[in-house]
Amino acid sequence: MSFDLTRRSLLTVGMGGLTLAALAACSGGGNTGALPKPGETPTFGGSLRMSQYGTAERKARLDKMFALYTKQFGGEVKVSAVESASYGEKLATEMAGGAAADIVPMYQSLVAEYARKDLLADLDGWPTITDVSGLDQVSITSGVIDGKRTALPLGDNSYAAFYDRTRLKQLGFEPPEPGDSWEDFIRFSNDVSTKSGGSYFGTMDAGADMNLFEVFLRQRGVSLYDGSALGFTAADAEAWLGMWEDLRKSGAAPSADRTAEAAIGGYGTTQLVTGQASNFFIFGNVFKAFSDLTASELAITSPPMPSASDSGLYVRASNWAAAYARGKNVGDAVNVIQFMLNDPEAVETLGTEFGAPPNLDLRASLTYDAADQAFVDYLDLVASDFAQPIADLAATFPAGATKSGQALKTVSETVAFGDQSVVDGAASLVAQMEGFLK
Amino acid sequence: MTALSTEPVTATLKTGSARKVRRPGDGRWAAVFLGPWAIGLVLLTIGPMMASLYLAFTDYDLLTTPTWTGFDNFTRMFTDPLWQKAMTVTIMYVAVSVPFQLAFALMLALALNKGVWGVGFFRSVYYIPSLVGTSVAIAILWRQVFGSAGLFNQGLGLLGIESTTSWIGDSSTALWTLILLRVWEFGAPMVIFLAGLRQIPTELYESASLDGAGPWRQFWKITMPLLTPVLFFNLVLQIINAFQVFGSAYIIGGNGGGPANSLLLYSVYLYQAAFANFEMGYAAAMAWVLLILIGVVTALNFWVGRFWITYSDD
Repeated sequence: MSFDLTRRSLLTVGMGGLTLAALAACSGGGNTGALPKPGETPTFGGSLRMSQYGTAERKARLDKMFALYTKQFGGEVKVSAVESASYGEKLATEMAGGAAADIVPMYQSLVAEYARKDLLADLDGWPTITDVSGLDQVSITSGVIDGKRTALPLGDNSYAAFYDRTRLKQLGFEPPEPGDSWEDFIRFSNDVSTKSGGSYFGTMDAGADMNLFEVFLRQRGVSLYDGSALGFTAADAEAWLGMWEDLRKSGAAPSADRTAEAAIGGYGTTQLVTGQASNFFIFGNVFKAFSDLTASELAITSPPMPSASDSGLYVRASNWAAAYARGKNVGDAVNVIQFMLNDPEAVETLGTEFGAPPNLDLRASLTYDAADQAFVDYLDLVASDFAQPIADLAATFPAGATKSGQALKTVSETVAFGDQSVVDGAASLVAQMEGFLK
Repeated sequence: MTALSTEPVTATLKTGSARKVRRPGDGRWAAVFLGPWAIGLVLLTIGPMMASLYLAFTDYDLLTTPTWTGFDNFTRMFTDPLWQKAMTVTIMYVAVSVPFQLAFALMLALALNKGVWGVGFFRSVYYIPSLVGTSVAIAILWRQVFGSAGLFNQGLGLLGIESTTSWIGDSSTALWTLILLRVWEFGAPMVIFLAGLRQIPTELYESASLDGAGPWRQFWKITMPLLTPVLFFNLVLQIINAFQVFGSAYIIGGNGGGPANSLLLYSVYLYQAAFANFEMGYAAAMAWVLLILIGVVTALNFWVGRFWITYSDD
């Protein structure tokens, strides 16, 4: 027997092996002490983990707060932080792998999703630890899902608009006032763009912003969802998409490519921070984070509204804390959450990082820096003049709702790029969101 | 020539096999040494692949028990506009980026094969983009270069063309920036081309020169025919790699598929389905469709290759 060893056979064997390899590639600290049971006080002594999203400043504050916790209870709490955009995906894989952190903070849209799958501990199962007596009673009820207290609010919050006061002043404008109408907003945005000669936009294009869209719908007497059905019609979506289309066409808002560019990245790439547009819509608790990113003085105000009684605004936590139900240290995790919300030093350390502290006595006793004070004042204003009732988290975010943000983004962008009309975009959005709920 | 070159090899192999004596226990030792590899193959490759195949036929949201749905995930793809968009974007990406990348790599390899001074240095320098091109840092840098205030627009400004277009943010140009990034990662195929060029006997060029053939004729009549096996090798590997591109598209376009889904490559949509929408069953089905697609394209390449590849021993 002999081998006919040619270049062709060598190459074929080599190619086959490499091809197979390439094809295969495409397919695809625990608490060492006695663990407390429901109803018992935790005997902390080991290591806990808390997952986290947000800025480096937030992680620094958490690390500082957990150093205080260790002094009182021993052990340690480690914070594993990722950027906000990736957090939802990381949390999903950790939950699926049974390896979620002991303490799981999450934005409001995720709470009901995980609570329905019994992945969040019932905090009332630890009566000697959980103390909600000092917390804002309206806020905390929203976290009760299917009769279980699955999450506690980390800080009351409300949707807001940030404006670059310094830059506007240079152009001869003052930032809009809380309660201004949409007509005021459109006129103002056009005026700023015109005065700047088109080099500075009066407003960002917020057509893809699901939170502001929700406020807009509430102003029209409808909602994103009505139980397990869609709460708005194509006419509502047309009004929304059409308004932003008009703002783009008039030059008050940036072109589609500039908006798409700014959408990729964190706060630092927003047109407010990069000096391309005068505003940004977001939850008010990050006012300080934005203020730290720019040399300009910022102002915080309300999103536009038809009237104070139809503001569409509400006060509710946007960030929540839960304990992973399948973790080994549930009692201790509940104790950490309790500490974050009710310990005076812990609350002072966190400040308004997640929103205004839900412990009302501690909120009143704190002293804030200028940016945090501006946010707290804004929240008080919304609570007193604008706030309207809001359904609890389970009703606001029915099963399948988490996909809606991506659908609005795609529809808003395809309309902005002229790939489809406002009418077609609105119909597409409604069809997609109805499909998600099935 | 073939018989002459293979004869010594044959002789050596014959001698080796004649000398080999099987001893009792050889099989056990073979099992011991092969064991770790076999265990790894079963647990880390075949096992997950079989699990993925099973999940492709289920409705599985990562958090609750999978439920059998038959072929629903596969039939859904044909009515899913986002899947169709992802497929279109990916085919466009593969069809444009691979030929341009290989052409560029071949051009550079030909230049470096001329025996220019410092060839080793230039070879290393040109290989660097292949090493760093898929990194997060380069993808972020790409966003800066092709942003509205980026280097590209500044360069246009120097030429008197004022532009504030965000090439990365415009749905009609974003994919081209991603294609450019892939072309820029030409180092690996270039090194392989260079190795292939070094294998071509210089006597052939000397003979051709004596016969009056110019550089252009030598390239098409000698270089290209003898380089076709290497070109085929590069082509197959680059197509497989291009179908699976994820990192650069994810960083440049974000997890939302870029402006108006213009950067929604197949792997990005697969990732979205699995980890943003919690549709792991659908994602697994998509992965198997991609596997089959790549397999079909590769088989087609091998079949077509019979008609255009020239082996020196033919």
